[in-house]
Amino acid sequence: MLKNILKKFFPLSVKVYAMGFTIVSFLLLISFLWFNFNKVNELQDKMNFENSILAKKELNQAISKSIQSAKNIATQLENWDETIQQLHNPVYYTYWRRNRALEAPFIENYFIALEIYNKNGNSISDKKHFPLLPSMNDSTLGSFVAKNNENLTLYFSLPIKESTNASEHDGYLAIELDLAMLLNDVQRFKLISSASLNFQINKNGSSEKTMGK
Amino acid sequence: MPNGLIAKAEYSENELNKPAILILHGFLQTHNSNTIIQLSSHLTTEGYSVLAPSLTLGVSKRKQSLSCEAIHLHSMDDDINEIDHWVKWLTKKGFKEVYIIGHSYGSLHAIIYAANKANPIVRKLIATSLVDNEHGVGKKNHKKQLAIVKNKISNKDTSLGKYKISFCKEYISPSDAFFSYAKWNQNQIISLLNSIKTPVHIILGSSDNRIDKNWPNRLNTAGAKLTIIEGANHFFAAEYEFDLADSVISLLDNN
Repeated sequence: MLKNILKKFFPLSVKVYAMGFTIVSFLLLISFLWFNFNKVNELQDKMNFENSILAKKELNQAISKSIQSAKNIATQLENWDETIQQLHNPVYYTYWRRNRALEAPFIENYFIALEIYNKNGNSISDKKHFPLLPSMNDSTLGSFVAKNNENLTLYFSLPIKESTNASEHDGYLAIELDLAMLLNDVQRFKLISSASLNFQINKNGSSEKTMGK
Repeated sequence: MPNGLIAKAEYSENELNKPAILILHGFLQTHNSNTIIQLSSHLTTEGYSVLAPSLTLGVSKRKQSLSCEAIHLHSMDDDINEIDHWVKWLTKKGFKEVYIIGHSYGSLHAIIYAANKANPIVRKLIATSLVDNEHGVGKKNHKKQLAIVKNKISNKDTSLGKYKISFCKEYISPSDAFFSYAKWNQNQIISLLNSIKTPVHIILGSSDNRIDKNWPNRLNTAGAKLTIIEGANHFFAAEYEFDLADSVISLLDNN
């Protein structure tokens, strides 16, 4: 029976051989492309994963450098005689913080403003210039990011000591910096678009998470 | 300090039977300025006890020169009270005689101190590079500036003003604090020199461009004892450091 059926087709024509060869070649090509497509996707996923790790590392590095820069400026301001002068005699503090403080030799273009607090943590001015830091104590020292009119700002604060070996502080100093400018100043980004950076801000104004492309 | 601030100073104690030397720095400077350090070092080598304080200028533990553009709330009276405090400190240390050496504005401080406080323990003044407040501003402008300031004071205007004084082109200060320094013009300094009983000797450099050209002549005609060091500038820089030290030491040793 089978012999009879095969006899009907055989001998096979060249046309049938060509068609068979084309189908097999096509199937082989599809399989090859499918395999490569998956391989490329796999590689891309792996690269994306590695890039996101590197990007996080880059961002962490930039933030660490930013905090270090903020600390450097704050420390120089703390050591500046004129800061001590204001702490003791703030009669013209408003003029000084608006004009003179911005002219300090170590001030960078990303510096926005400062506030000086007395020993008890109260601003030496009647007007509280930093609503997020209306007063200071040892637990509020350090750094945090906040949003001011859609601009990201980094706050950094430290205690003021009139002499380096003093055990007690004589007041507090807080500075406000433009974070976007600061990040671009401290780091040349390769994986992150600094303009796309965003921070999730807590209800109290402090930063929680960073996001970016 | 009498104003409650803490002042910094360099003190090296030597022979208590010799007079103590109090050295006063120039306008807005500290005791770490080169002229003061060099002079202190020469005098210490000669066996003198030397005290070189930094005036606080309203800044507790001041460690830097105060910039012209800073807010200057300090006054001449504050400075004189601080100098008086240091003289009393030396008295407590057991010194029987104190000689004061001023440099630049420090010389003016020394003369005003001697005229106002007249502490008998202060036996001699040496005023190096003695300045007046008209130079750099000009007599006319100085007069004009003083008239504006006097007007502000009489109107009880306590706002900050931008003034010219000494080497400062923008000196920020309330009018009364500024006036306490600026009022000392050439005539007033000469009349002070004539009124004080403590012997004063003035040392100037012939190439000092921070004083008026006629200032040495005016001092000379007013009868001040004057030494001119040929070629020296306001700071007695370079080799003139030794000429200054020699002149000062010979004046200190000469009774």
